[in-house]
Amino acid sequence: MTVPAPDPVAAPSVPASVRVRLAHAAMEAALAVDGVVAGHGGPVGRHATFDRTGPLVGVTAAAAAPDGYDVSLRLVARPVPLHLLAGRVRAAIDRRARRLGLAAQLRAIDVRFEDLEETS
Amino acid sequence: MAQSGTQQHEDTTQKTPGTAVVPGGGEEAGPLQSDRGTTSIADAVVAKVAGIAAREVPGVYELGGGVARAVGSVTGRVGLGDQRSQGVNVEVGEREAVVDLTAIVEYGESIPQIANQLRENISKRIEGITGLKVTEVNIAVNDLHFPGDDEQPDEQRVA
Repeated sequence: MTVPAPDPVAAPSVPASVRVRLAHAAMEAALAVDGVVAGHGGPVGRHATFDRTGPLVGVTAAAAAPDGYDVSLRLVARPVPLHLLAGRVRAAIDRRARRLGLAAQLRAIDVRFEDLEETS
Repeated sequence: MAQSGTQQHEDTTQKTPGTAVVPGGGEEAGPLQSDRGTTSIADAVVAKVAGIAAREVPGVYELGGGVARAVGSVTGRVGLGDQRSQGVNVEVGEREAVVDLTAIVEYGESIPQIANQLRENISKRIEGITGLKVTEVNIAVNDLHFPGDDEQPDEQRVA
């Protein structure tokens, strides 16, 4: 006798937390910036945000008192001026957070470049 | 003096809090400091930039000592490691970086001139790409390359 597969429709739809939404918004905004290639999991590959859909590699958001979240990104970039690229990434995340109504919760945005990738 | 070859990926970057820029503070904030969060660069990134910059200098045949090149050859063949940072060791701080480099130079080239060009190009590229100030580029030339060294002997394999 076979066991019926769980009905996905029956699973309650839980909205993502502000922390997870901020992490997704930050990574999406960062990847849209010219010069950013990908997220990077860090030296042990665990710099990621986990939710129901799986790991989002390269970003974490952590509560920062009193009521916000610090975002930490680890990125792979092309060989461009990285200090300027970090500023563009922060600006893009700020814009995305404002658009999504998350700006009030967004605190520091730490950016770390873990690797370079040359595009041919 | 540069140590031989293999690249270190130790995470030596010191992080500062997101609001680390102190107005009127003792030390001048570098381009990596911001009042909206920190920017940090992994050692691997600086080593890769240094390796690419070193290979841009004419007269540099290869980077790395014998062991580093042998290991790099094997790891490169199996898809591990990155030969662009072979022969490069770096120490990275919040604002500054130190580079140790091992190189093989073409026979006949002026090693002092090549060393100067290496220092200039590596400093220029690292400062341009990462915003870090390069305080030292230590260079060890550990071999010379002669024309024809790479040619395979033309041996006849069948009669």
